[in-house]
Amino acid sequence: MNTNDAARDTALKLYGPTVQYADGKVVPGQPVDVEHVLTQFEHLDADARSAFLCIIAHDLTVAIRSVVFDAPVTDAGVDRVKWINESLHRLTSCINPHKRWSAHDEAMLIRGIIKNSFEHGFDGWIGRALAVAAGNTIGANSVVKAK
Amino acid sequence: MGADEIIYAPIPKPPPLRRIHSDALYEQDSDARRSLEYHRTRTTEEIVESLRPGADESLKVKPDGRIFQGNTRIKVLEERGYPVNDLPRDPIP
Repeated sequence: MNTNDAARDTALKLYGPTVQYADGKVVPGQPVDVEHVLTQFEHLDADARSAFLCIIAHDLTVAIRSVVFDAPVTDAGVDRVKWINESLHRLTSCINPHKRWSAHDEAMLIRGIIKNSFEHGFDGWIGRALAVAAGNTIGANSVVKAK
Repeated sequence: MGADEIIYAPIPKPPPLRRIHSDALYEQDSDARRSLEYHRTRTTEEIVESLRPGADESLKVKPDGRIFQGNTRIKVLEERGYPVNDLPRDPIP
């Protein structure tokens, strides 16, 4: 299975952020239409793509906080942090305006990060980040999967 | 109580918010202090909007109430007497 296939297979399983209200009501996150989001992503201009990728990167720093703030960190937690860091390493490289990637290559990078997120247990973070990034750059109504 | 009586359990409310960045951090770390000073220039409405679920830097909270994103903005709201525990949150694992 190549990276594209893996991302497509898992597209239905990525979910946007859950919301918890002060009265205790919880609204679960909605499925993210990954293919639609990535297609629209490739049509964004460079600045908007940067904003998209920065939102994902920023969320991933919170994901690392979530693992390391509660000692002791398990071996699984360390493995997760390594892979989240790897994702950040790639994201921050491709955002550099002096060596900017093509829109297609950036979309492929996101596919790869999605694949890794399922293999290393941070798919919940990627779903949340992808939905929020799309909602803030592409448009809130285009993120969730059509029923 | 009859056998067919239904008992509705109340939905548990989320625990109070707790900042993971102490007040001392803003004295010790110049970047944290600059961030605090910046957010103090913003209106309450702007800060609340920036914390809403779906915003690019929404309020992210652990099940025990610890804030993993939004610490400085919550501190500013607390300084203004805003009821921060009424804010919707993005619960994180």
